[in-house]
Amino acid sequence: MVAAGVEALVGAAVPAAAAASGAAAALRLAAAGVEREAAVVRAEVARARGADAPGWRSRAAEAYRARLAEVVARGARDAGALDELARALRAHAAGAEARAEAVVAAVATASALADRAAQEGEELGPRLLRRAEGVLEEALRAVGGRAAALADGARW
Amino acid sequence: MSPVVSPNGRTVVGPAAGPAGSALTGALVEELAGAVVDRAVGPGVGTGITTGSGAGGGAGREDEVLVVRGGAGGLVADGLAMAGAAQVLHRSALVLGEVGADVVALVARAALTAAPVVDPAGAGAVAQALAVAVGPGGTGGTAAACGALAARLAVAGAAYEEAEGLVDRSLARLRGGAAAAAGSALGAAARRPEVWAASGSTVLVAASATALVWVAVRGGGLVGEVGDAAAGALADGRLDPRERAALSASAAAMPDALEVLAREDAAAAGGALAAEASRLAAQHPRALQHLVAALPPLLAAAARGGGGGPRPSATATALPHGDRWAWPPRDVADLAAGVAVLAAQDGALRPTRVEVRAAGPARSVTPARGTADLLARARPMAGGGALSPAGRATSAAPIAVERVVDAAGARRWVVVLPPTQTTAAPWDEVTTNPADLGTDLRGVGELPTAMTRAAVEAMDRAGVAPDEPVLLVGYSQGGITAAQLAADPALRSRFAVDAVLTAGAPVGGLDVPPDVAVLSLEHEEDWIASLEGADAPATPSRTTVLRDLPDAATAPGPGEPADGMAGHDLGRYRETAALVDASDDPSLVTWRARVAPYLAGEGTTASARLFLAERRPPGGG
Repeated sequence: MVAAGVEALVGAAVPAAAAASGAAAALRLAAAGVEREAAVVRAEVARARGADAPGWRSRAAEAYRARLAEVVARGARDAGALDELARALRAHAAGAEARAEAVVAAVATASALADRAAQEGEELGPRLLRRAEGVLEEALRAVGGRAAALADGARW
Repeated sequence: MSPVVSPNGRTVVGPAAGPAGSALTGALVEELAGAVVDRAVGPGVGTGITTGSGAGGGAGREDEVLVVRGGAGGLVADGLAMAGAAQVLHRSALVLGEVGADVVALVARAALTAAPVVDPAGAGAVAQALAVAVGPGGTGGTAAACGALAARLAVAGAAYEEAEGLVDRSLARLRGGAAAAAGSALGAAARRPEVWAASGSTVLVAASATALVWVAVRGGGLVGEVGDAAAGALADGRLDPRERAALSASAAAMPDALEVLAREDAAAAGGALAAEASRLAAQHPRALQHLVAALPPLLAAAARGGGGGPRPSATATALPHGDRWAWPPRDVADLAAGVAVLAAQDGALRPTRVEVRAAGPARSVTPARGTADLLARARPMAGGGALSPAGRATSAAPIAVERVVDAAGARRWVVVLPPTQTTAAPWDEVTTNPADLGTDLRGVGELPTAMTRAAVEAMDRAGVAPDEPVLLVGYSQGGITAAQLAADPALRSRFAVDAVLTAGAPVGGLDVPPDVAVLSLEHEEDWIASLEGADAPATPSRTTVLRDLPDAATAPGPGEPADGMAGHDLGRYRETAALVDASDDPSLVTWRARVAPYLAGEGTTASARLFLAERRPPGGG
């Protein structure tokens, strides 16, 4: 009975680890995309910097160029903010991957404990199985709960 | 009086309200007022002084304030450049908007995975970074700012284009309309035999002069108000519909306003008007510019014989020797060219040849140290005897060609062209000196002259290579010749004309290309500089310095004739050039940088050759 519980928990933990690993990959893909967008912004900022209407000279032209310089500076800051977003996405990916690795490690540990429990007598076996269940439940909590919760990964 | 500044960069002081300017609110003019300080400069004091007017009189004006038009620091607008920049910004706005949308989509796709569940803290950090990157403080806000700036720039560019057309059209309409009315009356009078029997041409000349002075003094002021108000309204790059409507109405009402003025003045005592006109004309020698500009339309109307007949179509006929004939004249250049063809030597009717000889070998000289020094090169040409029909004690016109070699061995040239050398009438052959009044007339008529031909030959004989930069310097007629050479595509294909310095020369009508830097010095009291009837265009490459001389400087000395020539004095122009050398006006700083390679520097040497040009009969020895 106790061994069946461990088996059920392992059945839930393996797809959870796979989902976390897939999420990390998706986050890294998004980070790369954001970095490309930052490069687009930088190129556009360089182009906009040239929009200084060189044939226009007046006090109003000076005011315009001051405004243009502000817009260009904003654009440069935007590119920096996108870099920051990409970094956040990569950090998020690393976080998800760390959780996935923790689940995989927990499954391995729990499986080893279950194997040992099968070889021990009635006194030690149930204790080892309870220990294995604890390891798995803790790992699953770390990735958001039991299998039912993981299936609802679309929640933000 | 609130100072405003026009888009062509001329600093003026004009009333904020008046027959034409009243539609513009005082607040608007006040808002624009700050621009004026940028363009009136005193020596060594930087920007920020203006107490007088280029158009409205000298009351309270500081003596040594230069008014700078055009040049690198000039107030000009290129509507096309502004429209192009607006397009760039518009595109940037779209791109930034698309980036924001793309980034949101990328992050949203990642968020559809288990990521937020397995790493809620990381997901929170991403959400925060996303809001910063694409929200109002990020690409979204930048795209909006970019788009707004693009829209405003496009509107400003369109407004400048529109206003320049408006001001130009208004000026042409007023000058043409008023002068045509006067000419029409003259033409009608001229057809009445009793007028001729009574007083003949004296009546016509007096009537013409009175009409033109009236147009210049009364009408010119009226147009000035509208034009300057329009320019002022646009100085901030904005023109809202109310302002546009007010300006258009003012411009459209100008001819009517002129008619009202005419009726009022006619009703007033004629003597009082004449006295006022004389007084104002004496105070504003440059009103001659308006008089000259009004001559062609006046002649065209007079040619119709009055009665408002259809305007005769004018076409220019090309004649041999580069001459042309257009009747009625379309502009001042046509008029001068027509008179020159009939009266002056050198043209199709009386062609002459010019002979150039070297007056000795090249001699070493000290390179010029600045603009004043460059202008001083013309001093020997303006001296050497009083200006008289026989010439300045010589029958030949001098041309100095100075070779400047810098420390690296690069060669540049300074060509100094002479002022008028003789006051002989254009049709008088009393002197062989080609720097005569006929050359003046042909120069204003934009026809090739004996002096332009002589200058080309002198440069050839001095050894000016096609790729060696040339600075042309000329005072009075020398300035006309210099600008003519710079405006001539054939000459520019032979020599690398780089810059032109003129003083007291009527060169406003000459079309010098933008790759040639031009600095023109003009005194408000110098009527010679107004003879072309037009202001020089205020473009980035073309700078005009106007100086209002102190009264003491223009008063004739004991025994000197009151011929109004004091304002044309070369010594005074050298003083003005010295002010240019000391000024920190951006246009003048840029000019000095442009001509610096022609001036004294570490390791720079110079040598000069003098050439003498004389007229010879065609085909003669």
